[in-house]
Parts: sequence; C-alpha cells; structure tokens
Amino acid sequence: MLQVYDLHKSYGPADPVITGISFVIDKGEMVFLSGPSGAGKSTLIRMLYLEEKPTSGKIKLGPFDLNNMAKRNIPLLRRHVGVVFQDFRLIPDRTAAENVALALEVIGERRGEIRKKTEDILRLVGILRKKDLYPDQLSGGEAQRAALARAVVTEPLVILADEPTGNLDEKNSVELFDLFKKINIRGSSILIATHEVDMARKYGRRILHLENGTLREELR
Amino acid sequence: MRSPARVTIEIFRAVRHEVLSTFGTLLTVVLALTLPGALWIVAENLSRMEQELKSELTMDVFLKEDLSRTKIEELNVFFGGVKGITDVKYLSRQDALFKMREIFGLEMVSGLDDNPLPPSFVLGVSESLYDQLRADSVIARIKQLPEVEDVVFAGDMLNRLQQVLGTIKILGLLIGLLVAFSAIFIVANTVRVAISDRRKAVEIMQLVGATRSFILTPFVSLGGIIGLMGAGVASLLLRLLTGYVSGHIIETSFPRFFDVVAFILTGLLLGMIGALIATKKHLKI
Repeated sequence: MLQVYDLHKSYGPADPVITGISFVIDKGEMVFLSGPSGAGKSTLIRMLYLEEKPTSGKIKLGPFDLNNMAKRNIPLLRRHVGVVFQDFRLIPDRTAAENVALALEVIGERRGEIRKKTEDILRLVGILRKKDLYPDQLSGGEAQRAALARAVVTEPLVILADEPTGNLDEKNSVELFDLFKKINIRGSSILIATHEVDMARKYGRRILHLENGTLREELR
Repeated sequence: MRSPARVTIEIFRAVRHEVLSTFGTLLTVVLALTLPGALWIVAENLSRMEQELKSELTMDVFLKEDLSRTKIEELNVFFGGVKGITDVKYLSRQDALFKMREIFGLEMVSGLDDNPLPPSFVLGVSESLYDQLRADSVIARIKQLPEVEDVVFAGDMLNRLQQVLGTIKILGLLIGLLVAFSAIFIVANTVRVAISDRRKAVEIMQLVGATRSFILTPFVSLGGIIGLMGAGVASLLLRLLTGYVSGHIIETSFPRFFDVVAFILTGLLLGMIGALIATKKHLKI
C-alpha cells in the first residue's frame, strides 16, 4: 500500500532531517511512528501527502508514484490520503458536519450522498449529536473526532495522523486511539505519528522509531 | 466542480466579515461605470443627430425673382452638373408658402398680405460636401450666378457636431480605459481582503484535495458579481437619468437592449479580471 525506499530530506547540506529510511505499510495495517520532538516525524508525514518534497528516495502510495507527480495532480493524491493534525485544522465558520462534508464536496459527491455519508461517519466517531456545532463550540476531543471523520469519510488509501493526541487529555487520547483501531478494523491503513510510545505499545501494533534521521522498528 | 449553491454559500462566507467594504466597492464600481456610460449615451445621441442631420442636409439657393420655365430648366441642368449635388428641386414662391404652412401652421401665414418668400432651388448634397472647403467652393460658384440672391447650407453645423462627437468619443474612450483599470483595481482589492480572510479555509481545502478551480471559483465569482451588479445598477441609474433628460431637457434615446447587455457583461468581465489578478497575486496554490 505505502512503500518508502531510501528516503532523504535535508534543508541544506548541514541540516539533514531524514537520512535514508525505508518501510512498507500493508493494506489494512495500523502502524505507529514514534520519536522525540524534532526527530522528523512531521516532516515524514508531510512528504507522504506532498506538502513537502523529499530530497531523494522513493515513495509509492497505491497507484501513485509521488516522485514523479506533477503539481496539478497533487489534489488527486490528497483525495486518497486522509490527514489528521494535532491542531484539528477545522474551518471555523463551518459546522462539524460541513467540515466533514467538505472532503466529499471536493470529490464531487452528490448532495444526498454527502448528507448520508457525513451522518454515518459522525455516528461512527460518536459526535452525530454535535454535527451542527461550530469548531469553537466543540471540546478538543470532539473537534479531533470531527477532524478524524473528515479524514476517513472518503475512504482514503491511507490515513496519516500527526500527533493527533497532542492537544488532548489522557481520557480523550485513549478514546481517540480506540477510534483509530475501530476504523482500522474496517480496513483502512493508518500511520500515526506520536510521542506517546507507552500508549501505542498497548495496541500491539508495529512501532517505527525515528531518531537522528534514521528508522528502527521495535520488535513486538 | 462546485454547484452554484455551494459557490454562493462560499461567496457569502468570504464577504460576511467585510459586508460594508464590499458594499462600498460595489458603490464605487457603480459610480465608476456610470461616467463612461453617460458619455456613451451622449455620443450615441449625437451620432443619431448627425445621421438625422445628414439625411436632411440640403443646400438652399434663394433666387432674386421668379424665373421663366426655360431659365429654371437651364439652372436645373447647371446644378445637376455641379460635383457633389445629388438632387435638384425647384421651389416656387407658392411652393415655399405651402411648405411654410405645413411646417408652422395656417395661422402663421394667414396674416400675410403678400407672399414674401423667394423662389429657390433645394439641392441634395453628397458626403463630399460635408467637407467645408469643398462646400465653400461650390457655394462661391453658385453665388456668382446673377439669378442667385443667397445660398444657405448647414454643412458647418454638421462639421461642428462631428468635431464635438469626435472629442466626446476620444474622451469617453480615455475615461472608459481609466475607469476599467480603476474598477479592476477596486475589485482586486476587495477580493484580496476576502482571500486573506479565508486563508485558513483555503489551506484546509488544499489538504483535502480541492483543485485550483474549486478554490478559485468563489473568489472569481465574487469579483464577477461585483462587476455585474455594478454595471447593472449603473445601467439602471443611466436609464433613469435619460428618462429625466428626455422629459425635462431634450429628447434623448437610451441604448438598445443588446448594447446594455454588452455593457453589463463588460462589468462582469472587469470584475472577473480584477478577481483573477488578486487570486494570482495572493493565492499561491
């Protein structure tokens, strides 16, 4: 599903961030990416949806070869990648439902389908009753669930999460990880960057450690 | 592609924090388009007057006294041979009085004891005589005839009208260009503010895979709507103004329906150009 081979990223000769990492995530697999702050987790995630370009190396996501992708095709790639951020990134003047619906509007889904799929996914993440509230009326946990719903609603090839529990308390963090697990069971491939290694270990999934620009896989 | 309803909602989202300034932009565009619109209407009406004047323009040759039929025939042939004369018609004293009665009514001529009107030739002229120098040369030649008392020709009036029309057209074009640039700039500035207000939303749209056209459409539509509404309201103002001038000052015609549509579409185009410039400069996607 997701293949990364000998990936390098540097912001100048004296500032290498990632130095030749390789890994594969299979279809339906959920993987954690851990590492200290500044290890390059966010940089790696950004390269996977082409917010940043690698210095060298290869990335392949399903049918997409990210190395040879024209700028005009990046939107097409992003329709197949769901991304969740620490700061939620919800549009403030759209309700929770409208934020989720945006991902479906972008792919040209019909109005009736948008309503149905939006309600289904909000029910799945447990905030259907809050669908008409604006982001500033939602708690952190609810806002992150809305963001997750938006990332999942189009059934992307992979879901990338960059420190999704960074702004949440422990209770909400556990609930969110449980939700990721629930979504993973439905068949989605997921890569979660987190510094909460202990919590990640509880899920018994693969953990990739990124430190000093290199990757090491934790044995289970 | 977005549906029109979604685009409309997105436009409202883009301007809802800037309602007053957007309204101000609309008002400025209305005023900016009204000025060249008014000059356009003046030019149209002067053109119409010019055409009317051209179609009615004659050279009137007044004679000293009644002439014999043979002499009339001779002059008929002479005038017919002058370059620039297209039609020759003799008007006897009686014909002239009849014509005056037609124009001014019976009361005007009933008080006259004797017919004071001289006989005359009414000469139709070709476009070559709209040139003052040529007309003067023909008039001088005709005036040399011993039977001729005077020659009256309104060619100079046509010339003056054409000069005024030319000036108004150039002025209209210059003001039109100036206004077009101003309208583009004003709309571009409003769209720039809307873009700045929606920057976060735009970033998120890009994140979920929105295409360039999906993101740009509401902003370009906003510019187009401001231009369209500006030109529409300006047309309405000009229609009212023309009606007032017609009713109180001078008969003035309003441009034809399709010309008004073209004017409004020009407003739409200017607005869209302004919006495209703003998106090109301030929306790096």
